[in-house]
Amino acid sequence: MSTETSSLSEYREQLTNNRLGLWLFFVSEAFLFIGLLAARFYLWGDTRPDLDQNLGIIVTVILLASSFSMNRAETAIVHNDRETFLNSLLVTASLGVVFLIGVVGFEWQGHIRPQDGAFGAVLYGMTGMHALHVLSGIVFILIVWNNGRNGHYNSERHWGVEACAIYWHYVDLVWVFFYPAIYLMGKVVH
Amino acid sequence: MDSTTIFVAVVVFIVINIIGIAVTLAVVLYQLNLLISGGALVVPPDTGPVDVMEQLAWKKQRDDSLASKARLSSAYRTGVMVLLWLAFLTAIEFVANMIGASTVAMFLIAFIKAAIILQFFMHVSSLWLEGESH
Repeated sequence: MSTETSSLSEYREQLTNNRLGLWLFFVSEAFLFIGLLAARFYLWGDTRPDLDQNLGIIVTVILLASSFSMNRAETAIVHNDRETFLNSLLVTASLGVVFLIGVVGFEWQGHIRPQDGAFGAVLYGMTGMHALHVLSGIVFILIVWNNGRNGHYNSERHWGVEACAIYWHYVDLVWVFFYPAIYLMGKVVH
Repeated sequence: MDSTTIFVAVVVFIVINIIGIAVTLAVVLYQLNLLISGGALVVPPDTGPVDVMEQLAWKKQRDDSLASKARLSSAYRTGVMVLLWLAFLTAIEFVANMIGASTVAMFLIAFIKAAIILQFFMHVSSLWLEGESH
């Protein structure tokens, strides 16, 4: 067995452990987000604040589109398509920034303030915690993009890209539940 | 301004518009091709070396390259389809809210979207396959 084959074999074994670690991290994170969802249903019940529905759907579509471009980046590096890989990472990070602007720059400037009782506390708690994860995801993407630019990944070895992609999809997955819970479920209370 | 000048101006205007629309369409279709197929429809010229052995090696390399491009194109297409399904389900969610759908129905749609993301974007089913490249 050549040194390169042996090294690749060790890398693949390590990959299995890396994936286990990442998914255990996701499980621990799930408790945090499920806790926030539970707080929303306990405190808001069958009601919700009057939020801008157009803004809600726009930021949701932007986050879904960013998941698509992240998937495109991962697919590209698996097939050694470096140009698409780097461009798609930048598109993903940009869409993440637009999402943050939508939530922090527009939703948080609305009529509900953090001190406005249960509505304010839960709204800012949920969107704030999620926005923090989006922000850390953007930093993660930019680090991977910089590494990719310096030729750190190829079709065989790209754990950094895979971890970054799965983390970003996880952030999207959380929003899949947060969006209806915040914007759609329950009767509007003015 | 006489009628002939107006007629010529109108004809020039229409011709410019037709050329503009044609160019725009061509650019859009080209970009769509790149987006969906990753440019896989661009086939390399069908020429190769004269020597028989070199020709065989060249053909194998070309076939491998085309197969790789086809796989890449297929993977990109899957991504586009997943995005379209997620967008469709989000639209249904939005409309369901307007017609007063129950919390259970909303959660059901959210779970379907989550399952799609887990399967196609997070590759959860191939997670523990040794050496499986996502």
